[in-house]
Amino acid sequence: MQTQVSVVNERARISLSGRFDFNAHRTFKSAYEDQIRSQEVLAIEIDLGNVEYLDSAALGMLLLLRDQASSAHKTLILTNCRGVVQQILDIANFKKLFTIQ
Amino acid sequence: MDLTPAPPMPAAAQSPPEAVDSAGVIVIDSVPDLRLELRGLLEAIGARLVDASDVGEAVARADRGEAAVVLCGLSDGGDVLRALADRRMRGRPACPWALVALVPASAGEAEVERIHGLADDFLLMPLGSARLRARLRLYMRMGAYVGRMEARRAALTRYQDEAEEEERIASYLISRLEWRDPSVKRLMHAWVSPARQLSGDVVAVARGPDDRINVLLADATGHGLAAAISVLPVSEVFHRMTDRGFDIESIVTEMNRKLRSCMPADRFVACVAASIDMREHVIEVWNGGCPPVLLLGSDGSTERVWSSRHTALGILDDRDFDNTVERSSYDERSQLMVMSDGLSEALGQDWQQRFGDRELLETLRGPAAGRLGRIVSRLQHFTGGRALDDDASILLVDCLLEPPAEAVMDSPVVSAGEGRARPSGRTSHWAIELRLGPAQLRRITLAPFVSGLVEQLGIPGHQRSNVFCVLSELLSNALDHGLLGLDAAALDLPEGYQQIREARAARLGALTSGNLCIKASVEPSGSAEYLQIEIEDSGAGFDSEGLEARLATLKGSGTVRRGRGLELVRSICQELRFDRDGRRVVAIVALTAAV
Repeated sequence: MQTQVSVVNERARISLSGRFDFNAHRTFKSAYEDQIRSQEVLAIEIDLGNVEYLDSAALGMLLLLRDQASSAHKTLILTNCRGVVQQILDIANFKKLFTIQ
Repeated sequence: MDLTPAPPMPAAAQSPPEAVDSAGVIVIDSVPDLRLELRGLLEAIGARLVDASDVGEAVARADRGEAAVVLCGLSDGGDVLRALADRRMRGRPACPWALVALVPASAGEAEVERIHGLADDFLLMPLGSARLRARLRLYMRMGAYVGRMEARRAALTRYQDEAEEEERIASYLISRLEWRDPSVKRLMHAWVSPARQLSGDVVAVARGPDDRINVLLADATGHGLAAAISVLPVSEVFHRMTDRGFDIESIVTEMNRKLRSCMPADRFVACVAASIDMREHVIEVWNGGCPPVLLLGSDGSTERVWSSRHTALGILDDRDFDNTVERSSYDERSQLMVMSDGLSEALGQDWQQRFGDRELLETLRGPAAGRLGRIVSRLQHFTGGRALDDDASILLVDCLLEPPAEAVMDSPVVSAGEGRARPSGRTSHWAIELRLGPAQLRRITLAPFVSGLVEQLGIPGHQRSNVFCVLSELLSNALDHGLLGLDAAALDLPEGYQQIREARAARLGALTSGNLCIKASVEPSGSAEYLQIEIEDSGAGFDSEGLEARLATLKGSGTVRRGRGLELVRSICQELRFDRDGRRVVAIVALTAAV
């Protein structure tokens, strides 16, 4: 999985592409850690538009990020969920836990 | 993965490769001349000659790390070399010391060819000191490398053996969790395919004290031991609470609470918990994060789908957790199908196509017998026999109305309580009386309360579920309709169940006076023994005759399931009568067969 980070107007967008699974652990964590720490960032957007697949480990990583974002008082948004990704988030009922756009 | 502690490496492998002066060298030949010839040369370059009188001693000393090299002459035509080569590789893939043949310079190609494959190297005699030193260094470096590899390999093998043993034991323990009561085993058709040796999926079926069948499929994040450990508390709560008669809503709440308190934030357990009430023909399903649960008709058609309505267990705290179940009635020949996402997401041979819903639905068609086999063989055909990347499981449960508990027991109904010392069956009269006020009624959950009572009273095993059924039905009747004044007719409406539940909770919360009185006694009569149950509520009373008349008319229509409870109670009891304007009910149950 590849990540790309851009910060515009206090909002950090982390765009993911490829397979978001257990092997992406380190990549994903290093992509968001700086944003959690940053004073300038108020909201974190995880753009899942180019993710082909995500597994339960990825859902777990999103839950971890959710915990950390909430203790750092930052808003967390998941965007561009479609296809398989949308289905998996639906089955997991993540719409109850995350703001999904 | 941590491979320490590694076994001690041979001394030769530990010494720095360049220090030839520490090298132990064994020289062996059928004639002693060679040893004498080489001693001077070895001493000159600082190596140490290690004594060995025969092949056995040479191998033993080199194995102990006393020598890095064994030099072997060929004056006997190669027999000693062959013996050495055979002994040193016996039962092991690599050896940290070098076996080197000393070949006379006069030897031809044919002679060298004969020792091919026996020694690691050969040196032409006579040897020069510079050449010998260089070769010794090489052998030592090679030996150190082989020694390290060998130590690592041994550690890996040990680690693998330990892991396999642990997994074997865990696997055994987990397999015991599927069912405890053999009578439920024949209702369930389960297939669990672990991605590793251990599965993070667990399926279980258990029978409650009221003969309700509870069904569980839990799928923990990840695979292997970590995932399997995460499903253990789920399964434990499921069996314990089912045994005590708790409903699915209480069970999933407790599972969630338990996981939430003991699991890291990124780990969770997707779960389906369902209950099949074979008396009322009602199924309740709670689906948190699993693929849809299907109710299949006798021809495999999908009669009802329960999609995931909740988040998986272990994510939300009590405040946010939603334990609401969805209810549905069913026909007797239905089958409930529960699966984990490993099944619907199994990748096909091209790694892109998935064993998706369409393929699945096709395999379900046809009779219930062999349905599981059809699904599994279709799946295997689809994946080309390749192991799945994720744990996958399927659980099919027959919704057939069970024969009464007595009929499924192997032993005939006996006249005393299972080994309890009860001479002539005539000494056991006893009576109890319990009075429950508003505070107690708010605190207790009916089913586990009744199952505890049945247990405490020492009701014989074969009658436990019958007595449980009578007590719980009459108690809930007295509480709901007698004391709380709930209108049973609301149950006929589609949202009736939910409305009654809410009304019950509200009225129970507001209850300030009133009570339920439970009396139970056992009296012998002739050779038989009878349990008399008397339940009286302090409510306004209700029209018991009217209720019974209504039931009688509804029974004919065959569409309304509600009321089967009371009907069943009547069939169990020798006698059942309401009096005092419906405020009191007296039921008599035979505990032993009248002879």
